[in-house]
Amino acid sequence: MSAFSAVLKRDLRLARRAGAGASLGLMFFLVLIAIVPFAIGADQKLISRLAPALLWIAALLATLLGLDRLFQADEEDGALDQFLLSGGSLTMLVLAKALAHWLVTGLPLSLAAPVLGLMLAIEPQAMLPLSLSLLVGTPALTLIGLVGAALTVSLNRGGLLLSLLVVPTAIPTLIFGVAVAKAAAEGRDFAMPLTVLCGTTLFALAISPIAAALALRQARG
Amino acid sequence: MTDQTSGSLLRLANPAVFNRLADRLIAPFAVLTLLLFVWGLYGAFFVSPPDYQQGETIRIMFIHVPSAWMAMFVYAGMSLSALGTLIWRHPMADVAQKCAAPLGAGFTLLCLVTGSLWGKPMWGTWWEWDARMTSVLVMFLIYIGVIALQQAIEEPNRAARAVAILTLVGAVNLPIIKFSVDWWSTLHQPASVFRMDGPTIHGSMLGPLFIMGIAFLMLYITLLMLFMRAEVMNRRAERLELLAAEAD
Amino acid sequence: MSGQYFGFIAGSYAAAILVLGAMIVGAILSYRGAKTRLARAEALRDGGKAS
Repeated sequence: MSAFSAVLKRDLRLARRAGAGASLGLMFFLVLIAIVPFAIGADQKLISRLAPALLWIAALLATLLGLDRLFQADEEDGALDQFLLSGGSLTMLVLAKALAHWLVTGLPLSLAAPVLGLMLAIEPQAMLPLSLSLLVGTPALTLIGLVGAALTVSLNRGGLLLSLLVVPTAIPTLIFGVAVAKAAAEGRDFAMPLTVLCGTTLFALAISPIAAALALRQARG
Repeated sequence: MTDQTSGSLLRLANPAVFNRLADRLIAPFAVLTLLLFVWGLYGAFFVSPPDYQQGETIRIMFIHVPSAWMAMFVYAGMSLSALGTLIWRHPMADVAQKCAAPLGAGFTLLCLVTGSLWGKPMWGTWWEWDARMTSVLVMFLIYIGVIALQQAIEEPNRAARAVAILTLVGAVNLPIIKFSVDWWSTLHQPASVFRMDGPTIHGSMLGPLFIMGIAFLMLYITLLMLFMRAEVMNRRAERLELLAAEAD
Repeated sequence: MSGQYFGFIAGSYAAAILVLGAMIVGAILSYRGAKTRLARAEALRDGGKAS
């Protein structure tokens, strides 16, 4: 457990140094949302209808960003070897990294979503459900992304490939995440999609650390 | 040291057995495939009647449905090979998986293209975001991901194991994706589309369809053997070239 | 086989010929390519031994 918190603290500290940590992902999120009206026009009704989908796609892109460096930096400076030599569990390492990554991307995005939702003229009653769906769903995105990051750890420019691997697997999360927000915006009951969204996250939590750890171990040779 | 030599011997022995088997089987399988295609196509065009609803376009089914079967079958086979690579480190499993992926992607692509060509006259649109087509599209993307990862990692063993993990992750996720896409599709069902939930297939179509299915399967097995045979030779050549380079 | 749908049916079968044909040609080419490559590598090895 001490290794877990050590990795977590280190990653958070690194994120903070590398450009104000959480706020950088948040700015990316904001930029993405800001270009939406330029792309689809200032039609408030249309934007309002698309808002949940836009926020979710922005969250997916923001999560993907920087994933390719997640394990690579550790591999290059030998931190991964150190960790393996000290007999630490790779699954723990992956979990700690996932938590750190989520704390600087998914969590701030979820918290900021209502504000951006305001800009996108989302229905007021959908604000909190949207935030909730991101809060519940973004961990799944991070966890799925980590598997991709572990698989591409030995590649120099794995970013594009990583997206290709990760995005199809993220489809269920996207479907149910958007469904929660849409149901709420239309005043329908959103308990069912929210439950399934929790399910996908729990499933990702069960599978991804194992798969990512396996991939890291294989990459070491 | 002895452990290592016996291990490498096993590695050598296994492809050799495969080589002998493949060399014996490729030609008969190719002939069998050809005969099955002739028989199946004859049935598809001359025996089976036009469908009462879909008319002559039902003839597209004889390619479309076997491709869809193969798309799933090949992925299932790849998942088994992935287990073979990861658990037993079976050298041929990794070769099989590497060679199966492009073939599976080909069948999936054919399924998508013929589905689109069937959809235009039947549904009035080239592409319909319905559950089945969307699932197949996602499957195609997963195939592409597997091939891309395979090609991106240079060291063959490392590539094999990474691809095996990705294949298994995909296999675990495919049912979930299928379920979520089905659910999503019922939510967004467009009203204008003519839907056919399992058209009642006439008995006289089922026969040729089945034969076409077996023909596709035989074609796949034949091509897989050819590709695997080539891969085994390539790896041996690579080893020899490496040895020659070291000797210099 | 005539009728309004002829193009779609022909298109489907043309697609099948293209895709399956590409697979077949690819398999044969890669088989032959590997065979020549292996033969060259083996000749090189045997030649190296002789010298």
